[in-house]
Amino acid sequence: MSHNEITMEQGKMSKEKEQGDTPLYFVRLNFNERVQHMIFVVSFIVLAATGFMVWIPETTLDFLGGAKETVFTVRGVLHRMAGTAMIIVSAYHFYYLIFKRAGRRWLFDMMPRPKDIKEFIHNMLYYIEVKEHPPEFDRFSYKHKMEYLALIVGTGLMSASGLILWAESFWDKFIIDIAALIHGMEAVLACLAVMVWHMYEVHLRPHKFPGDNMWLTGIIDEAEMKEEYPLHYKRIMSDPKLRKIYLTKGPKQDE
Amino acid sequence: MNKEKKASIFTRAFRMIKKSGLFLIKVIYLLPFFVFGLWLLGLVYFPGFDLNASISLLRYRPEPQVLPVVIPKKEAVPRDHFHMIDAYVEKSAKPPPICVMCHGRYAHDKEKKVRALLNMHEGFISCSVCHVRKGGENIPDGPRLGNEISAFLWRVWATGEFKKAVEGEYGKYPATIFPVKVNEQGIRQILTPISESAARRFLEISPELNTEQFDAARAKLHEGISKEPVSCNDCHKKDGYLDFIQLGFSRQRVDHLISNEFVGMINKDKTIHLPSVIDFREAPQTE
Amino acid sequence: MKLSLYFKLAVVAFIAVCSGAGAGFAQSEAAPDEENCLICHRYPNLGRYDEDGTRRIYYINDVLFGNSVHGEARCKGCHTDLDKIPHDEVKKVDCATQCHIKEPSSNLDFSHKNMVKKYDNSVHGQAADEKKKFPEDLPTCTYCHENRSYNPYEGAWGKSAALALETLARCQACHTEKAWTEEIYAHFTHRMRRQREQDEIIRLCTSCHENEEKMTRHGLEAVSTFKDTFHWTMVKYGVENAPDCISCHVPVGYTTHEIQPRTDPVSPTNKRNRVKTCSNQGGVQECHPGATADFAEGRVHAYGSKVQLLTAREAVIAEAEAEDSVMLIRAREEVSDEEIFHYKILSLIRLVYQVLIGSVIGFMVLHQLLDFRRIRKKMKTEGTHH
Repeated sequence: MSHNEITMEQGKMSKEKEQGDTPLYFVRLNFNERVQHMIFVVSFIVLAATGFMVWIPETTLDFLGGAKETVFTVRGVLHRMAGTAMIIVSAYHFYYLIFKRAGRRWLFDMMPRPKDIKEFIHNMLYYIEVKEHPPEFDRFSYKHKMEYLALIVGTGLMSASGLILWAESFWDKFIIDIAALIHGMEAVLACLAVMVWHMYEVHLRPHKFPGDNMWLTGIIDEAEMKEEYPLHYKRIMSDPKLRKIYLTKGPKQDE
Repeated sequence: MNKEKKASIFTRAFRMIKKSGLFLIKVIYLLPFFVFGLWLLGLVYFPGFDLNASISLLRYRPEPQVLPVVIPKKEAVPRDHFHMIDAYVEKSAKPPPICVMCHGRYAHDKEKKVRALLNMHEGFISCSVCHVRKGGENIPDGPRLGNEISAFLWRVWATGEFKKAVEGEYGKYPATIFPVKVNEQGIRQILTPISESAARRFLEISPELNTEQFDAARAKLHEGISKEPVSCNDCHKKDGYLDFIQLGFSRQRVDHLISNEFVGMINKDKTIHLPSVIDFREAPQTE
Repeated sequence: MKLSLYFKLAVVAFIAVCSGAGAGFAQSEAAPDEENCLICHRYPNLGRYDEDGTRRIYYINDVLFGNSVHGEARCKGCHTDLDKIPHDEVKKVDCATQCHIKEPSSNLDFSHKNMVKKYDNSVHGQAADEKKKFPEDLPTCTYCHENRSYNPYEGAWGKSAALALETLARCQACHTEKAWTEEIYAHFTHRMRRQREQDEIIRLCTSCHENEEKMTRHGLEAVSTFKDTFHWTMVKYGVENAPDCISCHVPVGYTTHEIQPRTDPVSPTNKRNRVKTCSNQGGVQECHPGATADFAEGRVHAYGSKVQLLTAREAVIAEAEAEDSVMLIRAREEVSDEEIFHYKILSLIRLVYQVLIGSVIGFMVLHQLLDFRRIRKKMKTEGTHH
C-alpha cells in the first residue's frame, strides 16, 4: 500500500468521522514505517541472539551436545542474513526520509531543536515533582530524538564493522581487531539501550505493561494522544491538512 | 457480621494470591532482560570472569590428584598414565572399610618388595580378612575378636547382600570379601575390628596428645587387630586360610592361586630372575 | 510414499549392519601375554604411593593394550630392565630404545630414535639449547603421548565403519595373514588423520602454556589470549577443522616434533611464512584463501602480558629491569613499536566504550526509574479520584 493511498483513505475516513461523535484515532506509524520497524526488529533480535552466541562460555554449550557444529554454521548464516536485511532496511529508510513526503515530514519532526533541551529539563523537574505537569511534547520528544540518533550512529558502526569482519581477508589485521572490538562493544551498548530505553518506553511503563500494540496497529486513541503528545494533538486538530494525514478510524477498520 | 468478616478474609486472600501471582508473572517476564543485561555488563567490565569455572572451583573435589579416567576420549589428557587403563582402578569397596579413613588407599607401604602386590588385594578383600586373624586364641596376646568370625563372604557393593560367589575375574568383582559374624538370631553382619566412633574421636583428639598418650590411644584403638597378619603363604597354599572353593572360585583358578608360580613369587626372601625373552617371531612375510 | 518407506528401512538396515560390523572390528583380541606379566598386572588395584606421594598404577587392561599402537610390543621391549621379581630399581622407559618390533620396510629393529632426536632439537627439546633454564618444565614424550587405541578409520564418506571393513577386505584379498593385515591396516589408517579433537589439543598445550608462572620464567606469554579470538569460538562450537594450536603452529607440511619458536625463519608463524599458513597449507587446508600480507602478518592471539608490560607504569618496568626479568628482555626484542601502538589504540577504544556504556546506560536507568516512580504516583492519585 503506497503512502498516497493511505492518506487518501484516511482523508475519506476523517471526513466520515467528523460527522459523528465516534472516538478519534491518530496515526503514529504508517504502514510503510511499521513494515520498516518490523524488519528491523526481527533482524535486530536475530543479530543479537546469533551474535552473542559467540561469547557463550564453552561449558554452557555442553547441553547442545553433537548439534554444536550445526548450530554454529546456522548461527553464522543467520547472522549474515539478518545483517544484510538490517542494512537494506536502513538504506531504504534513508531513501524514505528523502524521497517520500511522509519521510520528509518524519525527518523534519525528528530534527533536534533548542526546545528539546527545555523540555528535558522540564520533564526532569516533573519527575522530581517540582513541576506538576509534564512538558507538552510534540510528535517526537527528546527521548525519541536521542534514541533515533543513537540508532543511526549504532547501525552505521555495526554495519561498517560487520562488513569489514565479513570480508576479513582484505584488511589489515589491526583494522579487523578494531572492527571486532567495536562490533562487540557497540552490540552491548545497543542491546542494553534497547532494553532500558526503548523497551521500557514503549512496553514496560506501568500504564503500558506488559506490552503495547501500537507497533502492530500504528494508531493510538485520543486520550493517549492528548496525554503523551499534547502539542502534536493541538497542531493536528487546528490544521486541516494534518487532520487528513493523522486522523484515522478505529483499530478494527484499519486493516 | 461473622459471614461478612469471613468473606472479607477470603477476598483478601484471593487478592493476595492474585497480586503475588501477577508479581510472579512480571518477574518471569522481566527476569530474562535483567539476566541478559547483567551478562552483557559482565562481558564489558569483567571480561575474564567465567561463572561456570568459578562454580566448579567451589565444588568439592575429594582427591585432586586422582588420575582422570582415560577411557572417555574427552578426558584424554594423559598426564598421569601412559597405558590406556579402564575405570576399574578407581573402583573400591562400598562402603569402604573403616581403615581407609586413616590409612587411605594403597595402605601397604612398609614391605617395599611386596607392597604393590599387597595393595592389589584391596580391591576385593577387606582389611579385616587378613588383619583380624580367625582363631586368634591360638596366638599369644591375639585378639579375642578373631573368634567371632563365622565365615568369609562376598558383600555386594550395590545391594549390600552377602553372597558365597560372585561374577568376575582377576580382581574385577562387584563385591568385597568380608569376615562375617553370625549372631544368635542368624543375622549375618560384617565384623568390624574398630569402632567408627572411636576412630573419629581418635582423629579429633590426636593432635593434642603427647607421644605416649598417642601411642597408648593408638594401641587401644587397634586392640582388635591381630599383631601378626595373615601372610601370603597362609592363603596361597593347599588348604590355606581362605577356602577359595567356598568363595566360589573355579577349580582351575584355585589350582592357579595355590600353584608354585604364585607361592614362589611371593616368597619375599627370594628374587626371581626372569629370562630375557628371545624373539623367535619372524619378520612379516610380504607377498 | 511406499518407496520412501522402503528406502528408510534399507537405510536403517544398512546402519544396523555397519554398526554391527564396526563393533566386530573394534574388538580384536588381547595381546598374548608371553612374558606372563599379566599374572599380577591385570589386577586393577596393583599399585602404591611413592615416597613423594605420587600415585603409581601398575594395572594393565590387556584388551585395551592389545588394541593399542604398542599392542604388538612386548612389555620388556620398552621396560628393558625388568628382569627380576620383585622389580626394584626400575628405570624410566626410554622411547629411543630399540624394541623387538621389526620395521617392515627395512626389517630392522624398530625404535623412536629418529623422532626423539628431532624432538630434542625442537623448541621443546633439551638438547637444542644448552642454556635452557628450568629443563624440568619441558614436556617429555609421555606428557603428550599415551598408548592410544587403534580405531577403524572413519573417513570423510559418512564416517562409516563399514568403509573400513570394505577396505580391509580388499587388503586381505592378497594379504591372507588376517591378524597381520589387520594390524598393518589399523596402524596405517591410524596415521591418516589427526588423533585428537581440537579442544583436546588446546587442553593439552594450555596445560603448560596457560600456566602464568611457568611461562613467565621462560619469557613467554601465557596463551589464555587465544580464547579472545574467533578461532577459539569455532573450537568451542566443535566445528570440524576449527583452528586449534596445531592448525597454525604445526600446519600441513610441518611436524609437532620439530616445532620452532616464531622468531625462527622456518616457523610457520614467522612473519614471512604467515601468508602461506593462513591462506593455503600445501593445497590441503584453505582457511583464509584470500589472505594478504597485511592480514596475515597481524597479531592472531589477543595482546598479552608482553605488550602490557612494555606499556605499564614506569615503576613496574623499573622493577622488572631490576629483577633482570626474562620477560622484559624478550618483550623488548620481540614487540615492535607498531604493535604497542595498536595495543594502545585498542585499549583506548575499549576504555571509551566502557565509560560510554556505563554513563549512557546509567543515565537511562536513572531516567526510567524516575519515570516509573512518577507514573506510579500519578496512577495512584488518579485512582483515588475515580
